[in-house]
Amino acid sequence: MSASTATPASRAKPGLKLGTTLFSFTTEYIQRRYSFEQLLAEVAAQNLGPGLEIVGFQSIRGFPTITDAFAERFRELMDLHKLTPSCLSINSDMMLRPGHMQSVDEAVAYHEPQIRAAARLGFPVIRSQFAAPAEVLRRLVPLIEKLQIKIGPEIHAPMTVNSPPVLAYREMYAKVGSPYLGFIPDCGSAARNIPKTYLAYLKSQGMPEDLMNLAVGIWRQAKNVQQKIEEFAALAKARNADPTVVSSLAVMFSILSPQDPRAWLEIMPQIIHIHGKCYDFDASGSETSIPYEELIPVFVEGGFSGFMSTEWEGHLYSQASGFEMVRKHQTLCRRLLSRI
Amino acid sequence: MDNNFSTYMLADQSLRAGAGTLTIAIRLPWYRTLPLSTVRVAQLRIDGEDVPGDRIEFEINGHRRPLLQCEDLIDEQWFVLDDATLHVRGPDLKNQSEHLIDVTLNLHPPYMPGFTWVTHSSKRLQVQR
Repeated sequence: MSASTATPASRAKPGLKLGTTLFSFTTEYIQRRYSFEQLLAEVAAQNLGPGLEIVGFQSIRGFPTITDAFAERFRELMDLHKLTPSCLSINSDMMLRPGHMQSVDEAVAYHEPQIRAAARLGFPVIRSQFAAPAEVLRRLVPLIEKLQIKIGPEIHAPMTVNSPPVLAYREMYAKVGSPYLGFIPDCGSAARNIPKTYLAYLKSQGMPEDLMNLAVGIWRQAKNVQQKIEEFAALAKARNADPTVVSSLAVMFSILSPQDPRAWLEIMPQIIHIHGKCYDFDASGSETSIPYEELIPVFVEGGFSGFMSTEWEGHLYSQASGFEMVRKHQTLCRRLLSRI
Repeated sequence: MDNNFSTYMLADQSLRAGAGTLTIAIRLPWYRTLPLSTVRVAQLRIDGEDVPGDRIEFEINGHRRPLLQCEDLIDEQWFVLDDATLHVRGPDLKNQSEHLIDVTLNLHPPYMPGFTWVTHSSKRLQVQR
């Protein structure tokens, strides 16, 4: 079945539409409090759609293999809950063995079944990752055009619209000129700071305060992120830091990074989907690290048409309810959209 | 230092003992399914004593293999909702006795070259039969 027939709602109405990714409910899911089907039911019950994104390797056993039974059930559930498949997040797993990078041929073969899975389930858009070089996606163009499904890597912290891997993709896109190639911005790559609740959590888990302050100081610097990570790793090593501490702090550099929200305008026509990343909200309902007050108007001004999946990633450190956080994010976005 | 998966990785009923072996059920401390080739049991300690890797077998999807062979298994998935079982040749632990179990799992997420996600879990667990 072609993807185009499966998502009439997403094609019919232009503009920025809201939805969520089930990734927001990672805590509820992996602690086995909600099954995949129960999550869908709850998303619908709490009106957190209509766009519905999933991570293939999270929600589907045996992914990228899709059984007939799963495909049929998935369509039934979308109908039942009045949800619209918005985006399937696939993984560009270039290092199936640590230290051994897949070749382009191997990577193309690794992506193909994931793309077919997305089409089979009726997703109009696929999220890939920059781990795969641009050449991998270029080789997949005939397949995505045949399936009429859009694909794009996620521009996630620490990347910006002008990071070298992003520029390599932009160059390839200009040459190939396929309307099925695009980008998926993650709003966490235009952040203003690290959530206070995250720092409080690290401290409560025994994070040495000097190392944490060192990492935050480096995070704020205007250097490229690879330099920041290396600088931090060297300093942590010199202090004989525990590997679990280093691993926890290294995450800080890749969850959020600074960028001017207006930078997205540069690639706006190629934006096919958005990750509405969020961690925490203040008493007035604003996200504490990511300036949605600036971002939402930029996407509207740029004429973006498609879904923004609310993606609460606070489960990295918090046991808060994903449902509550997604609701807060969507309340904020609705309020901002209604002002425009 | 703990991360948000530390208390979850070792479930309360996860320690069982048979004659000459014990088993420890562990949960994947990550948000998605991973190929076994990206998973390393970096350390297992029972009551403070290191268990060498050659005394451990790793079971997933009904297949039980020596731990050290798992590094090659790029096609064997650890589905994010499934428990894996560590089979340890070792002391005969008494039913209902309590033991301190320390597990460190290193994950190498395959789309994040060079990054290692380290999760350490330490729990006193009662032997179930």
